[in-house]
Amino acid sequence: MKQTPTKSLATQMDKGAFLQRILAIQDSMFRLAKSLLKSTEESEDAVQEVLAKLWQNMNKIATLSNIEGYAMTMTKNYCLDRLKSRQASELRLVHFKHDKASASLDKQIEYRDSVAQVFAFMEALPKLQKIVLQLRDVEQYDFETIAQITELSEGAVRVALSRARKTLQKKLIKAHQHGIETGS
Amino acid sequence: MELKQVHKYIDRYLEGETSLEEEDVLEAYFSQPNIDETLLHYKPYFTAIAQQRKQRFTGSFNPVKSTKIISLKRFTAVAAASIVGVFVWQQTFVPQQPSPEEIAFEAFKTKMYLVAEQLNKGKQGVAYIDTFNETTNKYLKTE
Repeated sequence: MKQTPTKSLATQMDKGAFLQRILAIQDSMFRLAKSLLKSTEESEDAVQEVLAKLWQNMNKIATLSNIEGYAMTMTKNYCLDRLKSRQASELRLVHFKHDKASASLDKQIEYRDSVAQVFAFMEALPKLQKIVLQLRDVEQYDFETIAQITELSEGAVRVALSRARKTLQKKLIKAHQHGIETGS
Repeated sequence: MELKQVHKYIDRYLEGETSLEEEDVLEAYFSQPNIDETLLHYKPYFTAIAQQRKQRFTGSFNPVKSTKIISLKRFTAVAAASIVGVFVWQQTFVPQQPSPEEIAFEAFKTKMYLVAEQLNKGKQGVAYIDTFNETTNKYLKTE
């Protein structure tokens, strides 16, 4: 009879510890979501959903060796699913986007600032490269963890990362030269 | 740090071969003011990632409430829908005192029904004429 209260106390402490662990990476989850979904509101919803799912399946997840990696994988998958369903609903509207020229002009003005321009370059990367770049350069995860999150081999992660960095390098050089030309 | 060394790191960085420690060194180099001309174009990138790292999740997660996942947005939507629903229900099912306009409309409606009835009678009369014409035609043809 005396053991029951101690037991429940122990599980409660575990709960607290588990909560702390998943809340410790909520910012990383949010940044990954934002890099994919762009919308702040949608990214917050995504993080909330994933946190709730983690919390509900605490008993299963707490036994995993890398809870953080698992949480990031869930975030990534959740966002990719969202993008898929978004694409499906946007497909019908494609024909209405006829003023492409003016849109790109708007973007040019918007991204005149060089740092903002970098965000635009990052946004233009293929999804997988975007994820890998985000996990490495922003979140600073090691290759093993990135491989786990992306469900790729470490080699494939390095290749994707290298491609992303090289694409950005080319665009950065071009933007820099352009800045000099117009400046003089 | 020596310029040659930075170039070496950058080359390996582009190949995805640098370690996290080496990448920290690169970031530190690009965050100081004396960046070499030949490397200046990388600066916006390192500024951008440092800036992005500062982004925080501003939502809040409450594990007690999350046993049933109801985000605030969804909750408001449901609440708004049910309020509208109750309002509509009241409008349709709770009997109300008819306004003078409604009484007038009802009176007008009954009058129009009476007019329509008379018109229908007239229509039946016209139908007789049709039959008459038919028989006349029959008569003409047989002759």
